[in-house]
Amino acid sequence: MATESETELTADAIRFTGVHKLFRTAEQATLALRHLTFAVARGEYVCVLGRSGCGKSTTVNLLLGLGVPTSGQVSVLGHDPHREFARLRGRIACVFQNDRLLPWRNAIDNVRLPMEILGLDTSSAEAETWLQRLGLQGFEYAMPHQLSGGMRQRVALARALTSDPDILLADEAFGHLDEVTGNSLRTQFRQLAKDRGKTVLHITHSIDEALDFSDRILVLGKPGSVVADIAKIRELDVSSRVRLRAEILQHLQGPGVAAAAAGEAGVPPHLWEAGS
Amino acid sequence: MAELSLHDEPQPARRWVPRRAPVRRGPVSALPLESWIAFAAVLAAWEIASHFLPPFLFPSLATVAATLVETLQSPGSVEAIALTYARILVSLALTFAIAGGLGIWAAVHPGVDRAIAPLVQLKQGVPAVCWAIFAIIWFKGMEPRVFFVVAVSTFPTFFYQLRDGVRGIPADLWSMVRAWRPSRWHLLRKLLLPSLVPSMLVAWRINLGNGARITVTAELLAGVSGIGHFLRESQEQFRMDAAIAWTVVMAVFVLSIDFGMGRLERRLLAWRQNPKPN
Ligand SMILES: Nc1ncnc2c1ncn2[C@@H]1O[C@H](COP(=O)(O)OP(=O)(O)O)[C@@H](O)[C@H]1O
Ligand SMILES: [Mg+2]
Repeated sequence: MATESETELTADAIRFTGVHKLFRTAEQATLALRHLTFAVARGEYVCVLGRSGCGKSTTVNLLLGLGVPTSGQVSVLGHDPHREFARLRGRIACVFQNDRLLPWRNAIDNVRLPMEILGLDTSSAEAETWLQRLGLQGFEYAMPHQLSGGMRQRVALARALTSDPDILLADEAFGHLDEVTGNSLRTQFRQLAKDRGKTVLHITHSIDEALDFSDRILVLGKPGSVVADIAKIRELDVSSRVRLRAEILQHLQGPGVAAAAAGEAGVPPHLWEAGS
Repeated sequence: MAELSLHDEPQPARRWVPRRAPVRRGPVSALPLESWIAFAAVLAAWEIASHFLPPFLFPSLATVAATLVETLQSPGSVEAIALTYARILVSLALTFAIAGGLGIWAAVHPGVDRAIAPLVQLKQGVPAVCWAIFAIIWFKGMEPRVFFVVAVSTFPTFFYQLRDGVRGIPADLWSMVRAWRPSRWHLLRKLLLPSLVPSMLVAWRINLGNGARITVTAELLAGVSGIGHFLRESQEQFRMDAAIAWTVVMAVFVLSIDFGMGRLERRLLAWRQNPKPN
């Protein structure tokens, strides 16, 4: 079907259009995303910056198709990741905040998991290469509990990269590691993703991380909506970096909070009835 | 900011890590000294009692041993033993397949749980002996009767253990695996079954004792075949030595399987940080 692949080619890698996400529990309803709208082009490396609880992980879940927006549209490579779940098989991968390794599998078998599920070549050569690239030579047969936090996250990174997805998500994947380990891993992640022309959504709560690593920053307010879209922030001189930093900080503190305080004025009333 | 080189992370302190997939051999769990002493004391007390009390109450250990050997050599006994062991294992395996499957299904479909859980609860309220009566009325042959009572009494443990085992799988791991869009079969093979190994082992170890007890009781009541038949004979002839010999045959079966499962547990759960000693 020519038309279909055409839409895929012309579409943005990621597009959120007026996405609301409301979580309802017996006691309360939480608005996690409010009219979230943004697009990421193919090959772009975008940082999503926001304070904790602003809906970053919710965004990731919607991208992976594991959740449904309460209203609005999510499109990944021209497909709805939830309704067309199988369409994105092997095309999107995520490194999560915690490593999420299967504790009963050793490092190399953890890396092989996506290949087994996707029915790709499950010989260990490819997985071994990735572990070596990430500096885990000699630890292929170590069980997760025998590895340090940084090493485990490297395994998780190798797992995300082996299946060669078009889109890579990293949800605060390096934030909990110590400074040196975290930086080394971030740098490596960026390099590997850039070399392969991946589209990356790098999610973080750290302004410096966002300034250091991205071509573009989406600043999220709370509840999740884009309060600033800052392009071309690589290679800044010191003074403009300081200025930008202050500006972003203001975005993070000011409008988002103000909007939240203003109540749910921006939420179409039917959403509160509809549930999530 | 200067880019960090790819390899500037200090090398982690080298821990010992296997180069090949490890095959762990847990140490054979030797009984602690205290256990041996207590065990020997019971045997000694028995032996002493046998010198003062009539043999139909307390036969001497030598008599019991002789009877055990004789029993194992007598015609029909090996078949009876094999029959009882097979009844226990086949009934348990079938019940495991049914109850375990329903447990997994109930964990992923709340509707299924709402349908089955109350039935299991209701079953818990019915005394075991009633099920034995139903079995006798409903079924003709010995095999379906044994299977029915074993299934009814071991169903809840298999069901609840597997259902709660699935529920206990961390949401993080679910979403990690689901994000790769696995087929149902892959989800089962790669995530559910490996996560359920501990629950399965626990359920089997509990139900093995249950199943053995119920099977022998059923055989005893019916009195036509299996170890239960010989136990009944021993009772009718007031042969304490024979009763003990048959009891030993049962106990050896349950204990050796339990021991085997302990070994299996250590092997399969070697990935746990602190594999619990048996
Ligand atoms: N499954 C859920 N049920 C109810 N509330 C949720 C759920 N997931 C997230 N939330 C709420 O949505 C908001 C955003 O959460 P999250 O996306 O995890 O934030 P972040 O990743 O930016 O820290 C939070 O207020 C959180 O409590
Ligand atoms: Mg989060």
